[in-house]
Amino acid sequence: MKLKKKLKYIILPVIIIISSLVTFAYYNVYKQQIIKNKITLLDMQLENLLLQAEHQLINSKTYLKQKIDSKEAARIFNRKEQGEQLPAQFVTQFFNSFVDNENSSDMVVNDFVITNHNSDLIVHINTQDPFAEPVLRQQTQTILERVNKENKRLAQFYYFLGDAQENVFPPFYLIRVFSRYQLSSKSFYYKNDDIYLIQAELNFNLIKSEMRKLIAEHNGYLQYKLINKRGVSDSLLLTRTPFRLNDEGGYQSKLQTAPFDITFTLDKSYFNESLNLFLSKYLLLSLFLMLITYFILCAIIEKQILTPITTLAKRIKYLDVSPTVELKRLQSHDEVSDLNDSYINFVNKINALANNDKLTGLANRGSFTAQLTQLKNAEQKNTGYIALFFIDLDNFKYVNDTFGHHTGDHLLVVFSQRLKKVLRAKVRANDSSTINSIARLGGDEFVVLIAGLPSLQAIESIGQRICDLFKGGFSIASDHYDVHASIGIAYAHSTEGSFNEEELLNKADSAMYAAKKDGKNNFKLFSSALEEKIRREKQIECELKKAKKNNELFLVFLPAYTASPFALRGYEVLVRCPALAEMGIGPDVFIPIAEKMDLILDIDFWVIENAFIKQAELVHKTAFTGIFAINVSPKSLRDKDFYPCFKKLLDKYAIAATQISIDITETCLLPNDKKAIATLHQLKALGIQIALDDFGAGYTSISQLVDYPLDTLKIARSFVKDRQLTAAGDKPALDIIFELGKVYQLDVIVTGIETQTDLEHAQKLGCKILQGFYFSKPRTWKEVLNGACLPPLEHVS
Amino acid sequence: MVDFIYNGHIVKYILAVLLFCCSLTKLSAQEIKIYTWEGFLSDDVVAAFTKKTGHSIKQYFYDSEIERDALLMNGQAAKYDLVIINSETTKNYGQLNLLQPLSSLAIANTHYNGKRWRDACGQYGIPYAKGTMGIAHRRSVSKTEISSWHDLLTPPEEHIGTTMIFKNDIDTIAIALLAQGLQPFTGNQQELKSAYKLLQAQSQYLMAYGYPLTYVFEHKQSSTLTLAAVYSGDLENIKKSTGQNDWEYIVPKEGTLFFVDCFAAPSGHMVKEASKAFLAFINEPQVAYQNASDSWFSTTNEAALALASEQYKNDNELFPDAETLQRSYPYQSISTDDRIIRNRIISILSIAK
Repeated sequence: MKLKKKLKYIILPVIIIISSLVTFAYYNVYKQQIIKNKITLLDMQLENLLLQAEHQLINSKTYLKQKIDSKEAARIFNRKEQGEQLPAQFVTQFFNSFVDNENSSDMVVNDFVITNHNSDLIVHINTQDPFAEPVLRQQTQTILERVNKENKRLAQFYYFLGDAQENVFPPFYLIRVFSRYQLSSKSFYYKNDDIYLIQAELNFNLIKSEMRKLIAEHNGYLQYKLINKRGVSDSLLLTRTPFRLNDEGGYQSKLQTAPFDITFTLDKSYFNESLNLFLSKYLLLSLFLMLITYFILCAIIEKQILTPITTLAKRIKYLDVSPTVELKRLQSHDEVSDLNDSYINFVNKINALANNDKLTGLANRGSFTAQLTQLKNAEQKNTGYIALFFIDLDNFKYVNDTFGHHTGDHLLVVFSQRLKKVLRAKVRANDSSTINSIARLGGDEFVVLIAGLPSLQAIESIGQRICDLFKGGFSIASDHYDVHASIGIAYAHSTEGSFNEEELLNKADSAMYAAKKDGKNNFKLFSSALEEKIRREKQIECELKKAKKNNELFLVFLPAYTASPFALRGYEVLVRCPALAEMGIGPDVFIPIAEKMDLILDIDFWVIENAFIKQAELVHKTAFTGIFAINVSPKSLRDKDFYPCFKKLLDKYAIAATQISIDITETCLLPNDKKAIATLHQLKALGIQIALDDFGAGYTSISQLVDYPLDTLKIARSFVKDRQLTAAGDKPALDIIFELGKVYQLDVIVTGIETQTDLEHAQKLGCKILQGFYFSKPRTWKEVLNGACLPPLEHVS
Repeated sequence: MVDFIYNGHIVKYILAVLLFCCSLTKLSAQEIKIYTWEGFLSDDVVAAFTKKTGHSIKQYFYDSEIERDALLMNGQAAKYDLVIINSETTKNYGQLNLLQPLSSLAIANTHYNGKRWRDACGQYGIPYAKGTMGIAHRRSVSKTEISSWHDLLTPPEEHIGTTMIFKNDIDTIAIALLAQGLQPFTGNQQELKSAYKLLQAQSQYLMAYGYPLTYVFEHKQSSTLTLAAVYSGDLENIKKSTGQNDWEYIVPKEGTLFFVDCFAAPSGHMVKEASKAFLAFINEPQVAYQNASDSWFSTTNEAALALASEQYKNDNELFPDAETLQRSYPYQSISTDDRIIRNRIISILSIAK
């Protein structure tokens, strides 16, 4: 599972669990708080209502006092006491003093009846209904009876509730007792005081509407129950218990007064609705927050952690695939940047190990090839020339062999340092150019890749500067080594478009070989002539491969003769390619190319097998006892499979080893070529003769000959020709070599005898085996079978 | 006279006498406080009186008779020298000793008032104006004909919220009774209850209870009033004050009340000489006519009518035709209880509004 997906699966349940816990806890706290707040609020509202009621009661009392003390009232009392009828104006003016208010809500009394102690009506005011009749309530009559029948003293105020109609709060009555002959503030009155009594139905509309509002805003959950005690009381002490949880789980508050009680009950389900609403809203919000938190967390983690990690991972993944992807050090100081930087360090180390040569610290072949490819594919092309320098150290093997590997290695290291120094100095002098790579390909081969060089002169100048490092050999401190450089340079110009990197390397390589051929400490630019040479070699290689594939190669046989008695000794088997022959190219040209192109082993085995076939046929047909001399390249001898395959073929065709001679060309021999020597020893052990062909053409020292298990020396044809040019009195080289062969107890075959003189000289030297066009040109197989190679009669004598 | 003028000694003598007279006049100059309806006394007449006598007039205005009566009842009216009161109330209040008898003061020129009006005001009042109660409405606003008290009690849509009715215990209830074809001074409880109901129902359509003149004097051009109960003669003041000339006065087909307003003097102090002088001055036929013509009411002064212009005399609003008068009820005295009930009705109605 990807980190991103994993993260989503991890974060979501965590958020859900935490949110649920928080929601649960918060809901409970909220619930308690809601209940507490509501109860407190309700208590406050009821308290406020009570205060209003008390305040209004006080107001009403003051109001009544004002009314009974008013001029209008006095006028009425006076008239009544005098037993006169009240004029309408007296009543209306008194009435108007009740209703002369700004608005009806300020109305204090609804109904106002004044009687004397005999229940005689003095005046009646009703502020609600113009047609209302005065009615003395039963409670008022009780009070009047108290004073009339029981002669009890009366208090200043009495209170009682009227009869309630259904669903209507019953009217509240206040009885005010007073006497015109006493102070109106007197607490108690007696019948003797000529008392008057006011029965006032107080207007508590404001409080009632407040109460109705309170009830209404609780949607039926808040209910009140009024218990009218139906009594009349001289006290209206209001006590209220605050809201408490009752047995039904609701909340209850009781208001108690002498004339009545009111119980307020808040239903237990009151909170359900608001809590459920809250819960659903909160859950919705919680869900919303959960999602928001989830997305924000995901986004933050993705941006801050995952994206850097995945970016890093992607870059690492595509590092090899895309050259444009590059790892950069991160500015942030966190674990991701640590990981990134550590990875960069790690990759750098790996790259250094993978791309650099361990010994010299220069780039290795792989790194060089990558650089070359990168340069080729670079989006921004360099201007000017791209030059590839192929440096090969001449005679380095000599240092290794003579002074040991340590010195050889040290020489390579010092050379690398000097090379870098020289190149940097050169490039610094030329702003536009860049060193793309300095690499050691292996052994003593180095390459340098420089882009942006302005001219061929600049390229040559660099080549010369490198050569200058080896002027008069290579010196390290006081030590001096006879080592030089052969430098091949291939180049391409930016205007020519893209180059082929393999081709460029091959060109440089070819140029290097050309330089090497031109002498030591030399550099050579790849030229069209070189190119032609390479093209030709390529063509030869192609033709060879084609001929081999199509079995167009064929063998010719050059007879060799014993001098005394002059008889056919055998044949030197020579390979021919008809297609190349048509182009005038013989084995002397195509065999070295086959060696160079790694075709030689195949060709050698083809020749060996076909020679064996022919030899077997010849033995079978003619009871041939002579020797077949087969040319084998030392390069083939170095191959570990050569001997087993050779032995296998020998057995297959039942060839007598003693009838086979393996000829190796001296020019192709390498000094101390241990592998080839080992193979030769194996062959020799089989009884096969070993001959050194073209001896004298190469540089093999005589002393080296001892390393080889040789039986025969074949003196190169040139010595036979050169013999004629030797000044009189001087000993021809042929003679010297012949004698040398004798010293080493080797059979010597003089090849290239083309004239009678050559023959005579060879005979004079005592040469036992002779070969040359003087006797016979190479013969076809048919001729061989027909006995065309038998010694000519003139020589037999 | 010319000779005197040119005789220096005599001139000096006369000037001295004049100066003395002037100072004497100033010393005896009094302010007469009159409690009245607004727009019921000509400013020119007041100015002429002051010019003639040196006494000044200060007017105090009331908006409703209830307001005025409360003042009279609680004795505050003693601060006023003269009060305009309708004939019935003048008689009632006179009986309650709230007014001083004026007939015994032998005020000059009062005899120019018609006998019928003098009888209506009785011994406590000097007749001043008479007229009918009707409906005023803006012709340009009314979409239907206004011809019945019902048009006032249940105003057509275009008059809803721009209608006024008096806050008057007799007149307002009389309108509701007249509308139903009942006696305006009935004592029948059921009839009064039906009037109360009608008025209760009307309340929601009203702009206010009160005297329309007081309203227009306050609001002038910005007045939104379009329909109202008024007294004849109010129309001119409404037009003048609002600048709206499309006002029309009608006496509804169900009939109306015919009123007489009197000058009365509240008891509590002697009637001032200045007040007597004013009453005499205002009853001079020429002055009476000028006053009635300026304030546009129907004068009770018959000598003044002789001087009146044709336009004044022929004005239907001031002088209703015989048919209108036929449909009109003069004010009658009603029982104490009936008056109390009426007062309760109008008070409760107005506080409920």
